[in-house]
Amino acid sequence: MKYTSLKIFCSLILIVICLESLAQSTSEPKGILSGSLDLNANVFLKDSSINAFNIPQYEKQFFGGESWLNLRYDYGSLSAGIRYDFFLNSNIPDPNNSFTQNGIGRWYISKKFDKIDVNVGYLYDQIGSGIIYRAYESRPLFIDNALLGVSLKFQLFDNLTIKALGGQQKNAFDIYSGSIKGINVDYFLSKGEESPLTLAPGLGFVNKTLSDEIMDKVVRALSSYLPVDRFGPVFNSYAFTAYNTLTYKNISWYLEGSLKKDDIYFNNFAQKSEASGATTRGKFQNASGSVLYTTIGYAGDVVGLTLEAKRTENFVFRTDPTQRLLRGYITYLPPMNRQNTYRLTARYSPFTQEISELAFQLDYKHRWSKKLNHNINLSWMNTKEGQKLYREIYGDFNYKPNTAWNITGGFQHVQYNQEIYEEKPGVPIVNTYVPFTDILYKINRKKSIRFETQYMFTQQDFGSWIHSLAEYTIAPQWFFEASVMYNTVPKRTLIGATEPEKIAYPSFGVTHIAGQNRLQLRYVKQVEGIVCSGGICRLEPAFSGIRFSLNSQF
Amino acid sequence: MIKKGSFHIILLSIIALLLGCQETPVTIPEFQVASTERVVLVEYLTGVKCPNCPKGSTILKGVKDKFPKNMVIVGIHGRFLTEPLSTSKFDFRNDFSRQLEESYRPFIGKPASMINRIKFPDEPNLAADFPDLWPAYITDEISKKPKVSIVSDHSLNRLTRKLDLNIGVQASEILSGAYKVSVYVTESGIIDPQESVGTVIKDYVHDYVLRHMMTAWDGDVLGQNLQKGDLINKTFSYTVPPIYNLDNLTIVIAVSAQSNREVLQAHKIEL
Repeated sequence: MKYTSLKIFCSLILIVICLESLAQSTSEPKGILSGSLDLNANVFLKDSSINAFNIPQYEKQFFGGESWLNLRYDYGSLSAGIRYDFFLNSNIPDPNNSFTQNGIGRWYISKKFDKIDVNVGYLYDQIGSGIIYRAYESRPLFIDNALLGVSLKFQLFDNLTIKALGGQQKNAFDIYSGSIKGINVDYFLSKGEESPLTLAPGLGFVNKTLSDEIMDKVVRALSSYLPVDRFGPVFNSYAFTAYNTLTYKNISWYLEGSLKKDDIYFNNFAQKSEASGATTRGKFQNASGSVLYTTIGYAGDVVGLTLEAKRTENFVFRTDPTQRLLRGYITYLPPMNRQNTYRLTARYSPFTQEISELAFQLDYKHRWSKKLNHNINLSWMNTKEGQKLYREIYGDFNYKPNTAWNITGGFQHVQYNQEIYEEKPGVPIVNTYVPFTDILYKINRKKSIRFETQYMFTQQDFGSWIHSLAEYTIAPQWFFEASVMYNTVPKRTLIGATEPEKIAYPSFGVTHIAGQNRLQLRYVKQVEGIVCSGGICRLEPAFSGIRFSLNSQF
Repeated sequence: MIKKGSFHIILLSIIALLLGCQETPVTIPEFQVASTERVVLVEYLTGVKCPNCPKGSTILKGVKDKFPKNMVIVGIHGRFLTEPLSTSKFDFRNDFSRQLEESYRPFIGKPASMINRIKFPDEPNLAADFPDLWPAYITDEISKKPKVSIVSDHSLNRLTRKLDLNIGVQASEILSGAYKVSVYVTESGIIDPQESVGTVIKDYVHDYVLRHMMTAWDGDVLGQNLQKGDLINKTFSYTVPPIYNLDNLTIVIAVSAQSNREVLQAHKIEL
């Protein structure tokens, strides 16, 4: 995706602008150029004591970073955009390696013609909640599965739209060779303003076709399988989803059922027979899959309640079944746990399981008064076969006695199946108990100070931790922070050590906001941990160094 | 103008039609390859803390059993996931393994294999990290005609444990550019713990463990701009440390292009 893409993009945008100018010659056309720049720069400071070493950035490169420059041009009903991605010794694509490449990461043109929206280029979109199709970007995890293709959205009736899309999925600066096509119909039903009942049903359909190259890889892999594990693969697979949002007064109920017809995927948990007589784990399979997902919520003045449930079976759906980890996903399975923000409450977060998962979540909010409210969240996840995956009990309260003080406190208990989520053999389920507080004091209209502390009691993995943070704010421009995470009762012996050691992981930082620009400079020592985004997670190694980030809007 | 009811019927009919499509499955061919003189070098990135590596080893051994004359394996225990377990008796790491592994970065995880150091189409890296695809990659390489032939003779004094090795490399066609030779010493049959998925295998048999190289880690210069029939001879010596079992040692020889490191031919000697 280099100069050819750029030429196509520039040619298309010129043609469309010329046509648009002709069409609007009698009126006053208004072109608006906007954009953003996101830049990260890291200085890697090797620290063997926390296992921040053995990757090129620590051993020889010392500097790495990445940036994304977005430009968007709006001209009447025309929108066009381009994004330039730049990676230099970056550890985002793979935390254990160095990645250097740059080029056009995205371009698109959108035009609205009466009742039709036409989009061409690298497109982000989803059908329903994303179970059968979601094209999105998550930069911390290097997920960018935009569809390079065309999307047409047609408003057939006032309350019915139909969308068709087709193309190939993005793969960093390349594309996957298979193709994806989809149809989505959204409907809205209301009996008028006097009726509190509304329905928003929808249907979605996705067809994936493997390329000859991908099929060749699959066929040749299958040829080395014993007959007991072989199957006859097909190029096409189909996924279908039906969903509906019912709202009645303060109640909202979303229900989605998704089916995937026979599809080739790699099942990491399936037993494969080998010629030697041994069995190994993981093989290609050809099977149907399904997801049933529902969430029902009540939002009142005093009480808010959300209940969620999800059942997943064999729903690995990738543009190329030979891809692994976070590559080539077409599907997006909604997470079923609370998205925690404090360092220690977010430390053990579950990865959405595609082969077998049964999950429930309850979230309850109660507003006792203007000064006091509280939240309770419960998460429960097992495999369909009954193996425990994840449990979370979370509760917090927030108390604002006056305008100066804002006090939050709470408690979290987690049970986390580290053996499954991190593929660490023989390790026990991690049990954590985390009390936490967060106190904000406004010194005056501009200045405030905030302290947060969490303590994690656990006998497993790294052992117990304390994390404390102090933040001083001079609004609206300056933020200063200092924090430390300390392994109070260490359980894990790091590489090079002879026994578990008590190690402190300090961080210091300053953030400056000037207009539309946000600059941050931090010195960071960070322990190995899980980084998640919407139920998609990966294991990140320890980090030691200096981080600079710039976010700018214009 | 289309009516809503008609639209719904048309839509559902299209979806039902598509879901009802029956596609003829692709026939899976037998796993075989025509007999050739090609010997493929598989440099296998592994580690005792790599839970999926036993699966990788099993797959490689399965291919090797099928094509025993056409494949040699070198097990590289470099840095990643190689720290000995608390119950390990041996540490398989050495400077050769570390340098080789570092030179094969980036790799996404282990197990991963360099198969003749070829970057295969659609693989993100040189190190192929999907074991189920290795058999196909290996047979691809086996089916290619070797550009050089390798012959060898050796003598081993079991008393002094001194190994003397003579090799001859003959070009089978005109070869422009510079070429290198790598000589690996591997040991098999070492029983020591290995992490596996969900467990630690206490009496795991580690095979093809790289112990030493009789050349530099990235090979010694062999020659350049070879004409068809050119023969280059090299000699090497090595005194095998007493901790290695002489009966389980294999010498692996590989000739590669200096420019892209691709392996032209490999050869093995079982002591």
